[in-house]
Amino acid sequence: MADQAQSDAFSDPTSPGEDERSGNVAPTSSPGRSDLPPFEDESELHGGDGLVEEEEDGEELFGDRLERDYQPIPELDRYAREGLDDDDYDSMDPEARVAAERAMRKRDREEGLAQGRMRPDLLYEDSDDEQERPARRRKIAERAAEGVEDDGEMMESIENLEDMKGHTVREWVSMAAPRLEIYNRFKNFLFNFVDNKGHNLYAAKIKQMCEANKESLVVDYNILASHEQVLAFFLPEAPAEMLTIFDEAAKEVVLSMFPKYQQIAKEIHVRIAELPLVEELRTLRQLHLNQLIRTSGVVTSSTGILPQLSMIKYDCPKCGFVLGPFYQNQNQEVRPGTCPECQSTGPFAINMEQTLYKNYQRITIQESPGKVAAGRLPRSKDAVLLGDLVDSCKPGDEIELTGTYHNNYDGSLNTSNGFPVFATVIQANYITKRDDKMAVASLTDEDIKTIVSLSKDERIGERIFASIAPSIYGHEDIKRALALTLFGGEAKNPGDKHKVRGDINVLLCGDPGTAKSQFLKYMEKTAPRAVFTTGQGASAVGLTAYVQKNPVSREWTLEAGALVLADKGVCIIDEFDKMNDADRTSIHEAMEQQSISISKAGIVTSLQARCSIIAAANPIGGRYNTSLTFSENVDLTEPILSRFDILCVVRDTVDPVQDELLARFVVSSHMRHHPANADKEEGQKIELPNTSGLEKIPQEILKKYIIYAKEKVHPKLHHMDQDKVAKMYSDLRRESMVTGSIPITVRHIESVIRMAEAHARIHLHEYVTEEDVNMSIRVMLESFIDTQKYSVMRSMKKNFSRYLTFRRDNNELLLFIIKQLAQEQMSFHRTRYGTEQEIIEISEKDLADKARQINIHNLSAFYDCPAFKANKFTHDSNRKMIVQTI
Amino acid sequence: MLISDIRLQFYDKILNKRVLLLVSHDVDALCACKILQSLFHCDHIQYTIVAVTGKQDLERAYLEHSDQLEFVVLINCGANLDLLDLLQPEENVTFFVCDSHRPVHVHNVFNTNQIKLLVNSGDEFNFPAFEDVIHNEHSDDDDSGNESDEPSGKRRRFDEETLERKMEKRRKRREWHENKEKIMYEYEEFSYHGTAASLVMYDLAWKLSQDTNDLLWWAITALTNQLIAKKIDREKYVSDVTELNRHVSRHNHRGNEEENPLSVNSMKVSFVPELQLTLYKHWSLFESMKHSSYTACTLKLWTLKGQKKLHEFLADMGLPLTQSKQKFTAMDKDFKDNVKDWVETSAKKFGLENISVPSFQVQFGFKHKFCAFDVAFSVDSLLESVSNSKSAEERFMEALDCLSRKYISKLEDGVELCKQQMMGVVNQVQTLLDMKKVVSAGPFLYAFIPDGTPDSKFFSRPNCLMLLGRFLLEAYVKLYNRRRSRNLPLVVTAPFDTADGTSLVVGIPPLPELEQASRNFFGKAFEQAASKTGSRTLHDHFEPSVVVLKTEDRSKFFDALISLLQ
Repeated sequence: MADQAQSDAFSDPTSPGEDERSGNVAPTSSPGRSDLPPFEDESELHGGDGLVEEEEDGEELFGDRLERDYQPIPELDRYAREGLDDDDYDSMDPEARVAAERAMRKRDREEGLAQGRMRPDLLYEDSDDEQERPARRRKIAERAAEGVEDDGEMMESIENLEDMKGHTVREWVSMAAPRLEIYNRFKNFLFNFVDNKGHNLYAAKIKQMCEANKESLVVDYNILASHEQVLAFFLPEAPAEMLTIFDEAAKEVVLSMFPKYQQIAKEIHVRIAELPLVEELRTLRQLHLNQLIRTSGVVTSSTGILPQLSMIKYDCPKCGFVLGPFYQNQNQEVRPGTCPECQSTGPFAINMEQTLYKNYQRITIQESPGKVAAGRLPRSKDAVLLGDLVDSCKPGDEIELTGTYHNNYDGSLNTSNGFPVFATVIQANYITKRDDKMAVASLTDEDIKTIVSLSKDERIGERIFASIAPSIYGHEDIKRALALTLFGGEAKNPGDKHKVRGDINVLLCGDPGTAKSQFLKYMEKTAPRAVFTTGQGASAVGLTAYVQKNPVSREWTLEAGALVLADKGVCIIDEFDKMNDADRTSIHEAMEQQSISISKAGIVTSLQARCSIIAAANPIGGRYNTSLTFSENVDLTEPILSRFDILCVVRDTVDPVQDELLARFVVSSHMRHHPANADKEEGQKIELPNTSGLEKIPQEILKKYIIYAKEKVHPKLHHMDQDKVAKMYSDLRRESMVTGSIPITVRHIESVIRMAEAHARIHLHEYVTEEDVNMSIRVMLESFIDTQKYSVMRSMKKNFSRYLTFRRDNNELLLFIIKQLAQEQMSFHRTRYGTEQEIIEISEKDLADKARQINIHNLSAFYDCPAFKANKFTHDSNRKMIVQTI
Repeated sequence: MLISDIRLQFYDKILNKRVLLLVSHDVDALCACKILQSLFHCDHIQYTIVAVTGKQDLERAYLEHSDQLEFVVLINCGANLDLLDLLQPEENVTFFVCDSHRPVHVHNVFNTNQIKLLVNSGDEFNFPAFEDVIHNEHSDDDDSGNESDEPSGKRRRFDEETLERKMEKRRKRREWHENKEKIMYEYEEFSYHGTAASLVMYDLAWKLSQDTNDLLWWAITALTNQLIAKKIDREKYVSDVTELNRHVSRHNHRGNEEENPLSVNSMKVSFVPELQLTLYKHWSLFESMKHSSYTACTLKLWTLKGQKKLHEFLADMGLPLTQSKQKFTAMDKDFKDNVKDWVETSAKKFGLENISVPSFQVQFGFKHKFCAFDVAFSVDSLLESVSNSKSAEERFMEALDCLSRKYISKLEDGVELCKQQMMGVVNQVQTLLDMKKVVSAGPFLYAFIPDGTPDSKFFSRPNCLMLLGRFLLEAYVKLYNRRRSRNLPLVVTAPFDTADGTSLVVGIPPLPELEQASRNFFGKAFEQAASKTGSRTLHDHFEPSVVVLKTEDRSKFFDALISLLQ
């Protein structure tokens, strides 16, 4: 301990340079330092010093300076170490000792390099080898000046740099020697880094940067970490200091390549990309203060671009002397005390001409809506953008932000809290915008492989349809419609004159308790970008856009509504019928033109709203009346109905067999999904009767599949069967005139095309095939027929049967027929005898007759299929009867 | 006949006489004409100026104006034509020919009475020996004439002897003819250019002690134009520039004196190294680099890579993109002042060693500063202006006007016109290269500019088409960089008159020759190809490598050209 005290006493007077530096530089370059309690800081410093000395010499005969100075001379080394050997190194074998010696020499040389020049020699002027010293010092100085040109030297210093001699990273980094070392290493890294193709990556990047006259050099943290671990280790710990060093180094590298780049860009900024750890805004704590962090969020507001003082000069009003320059740092203003000319103490006026400014912008980022835990308000954080980062993002952008987490003193916050707390701000270093392109980029090669192999499956279409909302039983038509919506058609823009939308709008209408809202919720989870609203909770402006007065700038600003937020995604509106008519009409434009035009409070603009709309509505009076047409059933106007591509009518029909299956499904689903037995597989045995043959796609992969298909696949119409569509359209028109149900308009041709495209996209086909068109016509017709009165539905089904039977399983059709037969017999029995029948018997011949009408001749396969059994039918071949027991 | 003392043998003779000036349609001729005009003004010599665009024009102009005129001065036309044959003048008419076209027609050289060639004394001509081409012929003819006149008896007596002698003579004659053919072929194989006519005229003015800064500037403009049009090689240019620089320093050292009251309105010519960037002082640096053949071809600016290279070049210079893309005059003063040095230093890195050329710049008073290149370019484009309303005469007069100090605004119009022209050229080069329309025919490359291309109107003018051709050839060679294509010449065809169905054909000699001697062998080649195939061509232009061709005959003509050059 005495030794430590002694060395402290030594070091204090002998190295004023260092102390002064750590005292001065640290608070200015690292604002975090000033907030620490002073005594703690100091003790740490001293303790650190003492520790270093003990560790490096362990000998009290000489002062540490002398020791360092002498180290590089071999003879002297030995001499000094002999004393050391006596203590604890006796048992070392020669090799180990040589190695240790080498290591120590290296370290000490580094030490000498660091501090040799700073030290005043007054103490050791009379030492034995004074004639040798100047030469050595010159050598050291030279070496320091040359930096890491020499690779051997470079390798040496790596070991050294991570050993911080007990300093904190921040202190260590702001010391001159490590600073120089870092500078040189980073410079070297930029010069010498070669990627696996043998290109000098950063030379190319710098060239690119200079060609575009930019001033940001993006450095990948992972590459830095793999080549310069120490720098990568220091960087997040002391970002402010490290980045300034990096900037300088980068600037030197740039200037060595482009000597006159100074004229184009005053400064070069190193931007750190791909920091491995991503923090949520919510999880930022005291721990992260003054660290480099990476976070993501949505930009909610941004200020204008303001000039911030960078280098300031003051006028002394008394003598006219120009004071300065003073370099301002981020959080406190540097002001002159007195005028050096006339000793006046001010106040000084800022010299407007000679002061330099830089761009400054403050943005607020908020947690992305998807990431906010339920029941919590999203948190937001201010971020400061400087220099060329300014205006790199605008409100509404989802960004990923790398920056330094700073705290700064805020007087008002203190008074309101009554005790010192600090406002925090992120000083941005690197910003990337996250858009849909990024979503695709986030798919790994493995994912893409899975997706492509999935698409090879012939029944991928059915599999995807079945995988939509797997926890909902039945409703194949809705699932199909929703799947088509998720994939979407192809938007077209002929000659940039007007857009033809590619998104598919769906309206679900039906009895309560038919899982409509469940479907919507499922869509919200699955669609890449979804906004969920309800008819009651949404107003016209809330859906479109509204004008608000910004409390800060007191300007009118435009805030996006749900449809605008759902741009390139899905907007889901529940309880569509509960909405005001006035509000509902406001989305007409969005649904067809896919834009929202605003002219309010001096803001005239048009916003993009390229979204699919999925709405759910209840019929008038709660239940769907099959004897009425669709438009009579719901309280929706024609214009809005015609804008929906697919109308799905969900009826809650009583069917004992189906109901039983449904009940089983629900029960087993509840059993299976109970939180307690989440990972047990016992519930798997109940399958949907009509999708039993299909293996469902896991939801995660389905999502990726959708993202991939939407981004990469753009199906083209090619040799489309125009006659078929034309015929279908004219038939539909005729029927719709006769029956007076929903109107059929030209929009429905477009719908058919869109759905065909979507279907092609599901299969990752680049061209729309015959099959896609058939499927799309089927969906169209089903949607249309469903909306008819019950009386016309049957005849219509017959008329269009050739379209409707497309892609439907024979078994499915037969099942449908047999169910109808059973139904008939049951109703006959009921009306005739007034009692319910337990066993229904249908003659095989009846079924065969019906089957022949739809060109099915062999029924034996049907009798063996699981769906047949699942519906509790049995085939009695002896009696030639089909028996259903209820 | 070459004249040795231009003052005695030319100027003193025409003093107090009326003179007909037949001036060709190019910048050099314009400048020479300007110089001569000013001399005539001083000495009150009456003159008539007629602009001639081609041989037919020349003939017509002479016929129209030749009444009672004894002295005709031809500027930049006629030297390579057999004038007496073409114009059939009266005996007393004397032609003074001041023409940079070479080779000079031998009949012009050896006619002592009527044709006087005003040339620079330093030029080399390599005339064939007189007896080789002309004298012998006459004596030979005489001989044969004598022979036939000899009495028949004598003839009979010496029958065998005569026969032998005859044979001998015939052989000799044949030999001589063969020799003559050979010599003439060697002499006329390449067409090239000599010292600019303006320099000769300036020399005259100097000898008359009537040279002023204005005259000097015209001489400079003409010389610069010769370099731009690659009529002379760099070496010749530099030597002529040094010559002129002596005059420049002689005329302008007085301007350095502070108390010269005239300096506000006076004209100051100074010698400066200038960048080979088209009109950069009147354009933005970026555009100028894109449209200068030297930078554009070296950096391959029509490719994406080349664009990047240009950006790199600008970054290397330390010139921000925003600055480089705005008008040069609006650039920051620091940049403006230093840009020349920067370009020069950075250019070395990018293989543009020759970017800077010794040149002159002129300052009219305090206001207008023009460098010789800009003036040469803009006068040229005024001459070749394509607006429909102007006839050739009007264009000529306008170009003549813009040379004088009073019509600076016209010069500026010319600058704008030149920009359009350059943009058209660069676009055309880019399209031709992108569409791979430059095709190798074996011994030469060719490119057709199809009718109806947006800028095709520009290319109906020979100088502009030649500019395009040179640009295209250089770009092509730089792009493909094959050893073979380096030494290939280029033939470019553009629609000349769509109504007539004619197109303009120019031949550009291969690059090495273009760089060094700027000799062009296409003149003879075109002539022969046309005569072989009977294509309907019109060799009207004074430049033999410029031909007007019936578009229908094009393929025929080209086939012949290919077989000829193989």
